[in-house]
Amino acid sequence: MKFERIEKEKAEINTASVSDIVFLLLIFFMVSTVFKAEQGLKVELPEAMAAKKISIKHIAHIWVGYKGDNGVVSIDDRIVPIGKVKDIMQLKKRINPNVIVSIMADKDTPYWISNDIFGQLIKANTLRVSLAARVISDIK
Amino acid sequence: MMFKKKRKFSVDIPTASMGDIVFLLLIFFMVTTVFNNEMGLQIVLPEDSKEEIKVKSETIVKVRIDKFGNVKISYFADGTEITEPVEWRNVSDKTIEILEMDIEEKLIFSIIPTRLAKYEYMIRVFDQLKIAFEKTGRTERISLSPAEDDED
Repeated sequence: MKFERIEKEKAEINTASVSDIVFLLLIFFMVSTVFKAEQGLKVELPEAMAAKKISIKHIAHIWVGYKGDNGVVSIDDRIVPIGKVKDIMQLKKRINPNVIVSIMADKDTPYWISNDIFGQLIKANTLRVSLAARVISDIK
Repeated sequence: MMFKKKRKFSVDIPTASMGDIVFLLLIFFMVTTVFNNEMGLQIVLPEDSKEEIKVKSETIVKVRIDKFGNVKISYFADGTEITEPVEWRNVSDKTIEILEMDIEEKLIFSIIPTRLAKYEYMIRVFDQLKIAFEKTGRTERISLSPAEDDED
């Protein structure tokens, strides 16, 4: 009677595909990474429950703060007078006709500043606006 | 004359450290990645037209906000204008109440803050209106009006 010889197999985990997985992860993170483009102003956003996610593709930010009784407006990390907002936004509209203006205003700024900015946006014909807010699930 | 024997080198690029480099890059991108989570209340501003569009005053619900954050809602019921002070937390309930009376779905809600009202007050009223429209399933008819002067 003949017995078959049992071959001894090495118990190793195949690691050849690890580099493939890592490369895949690497490419995913490389593609999805968005480096912070602007610093903006230090603002404390108001809270809202109905805030929705907006696509980052078409966004132009306007940061609104205040100093004493005056409004401080920052676009692309430059402080601009409120009267100049129209020209800047017109330029942005020409580059991207689908531009959405995201207003990052401090919750304590008096309303007249944002009112003036809305006026400028209407003049520049950039009518799609998002009022940035922190999302809360319930009113305190 | 004697010539030195040329040694044969193997021409391989060592790839053993490849994994290390890729891992390093991976960790760098994982740490620096910021996923987009920008949230906001969306609104479409009115066009800058010279022509004025006439709207019946009965179809406008005025939501006034003063510099202290007090909210007053003015609306028409049976031909008479009613002005009621409303706690901002209850604006959405009041809005739903008004919307349910409006069978023709013609009402436009106009937010009118005073010049010195805080931005936050406007946002929270706007938020409440949005919630009310969402709950009732109506198409959103909210407008932001130019600021009014404060009463002293």
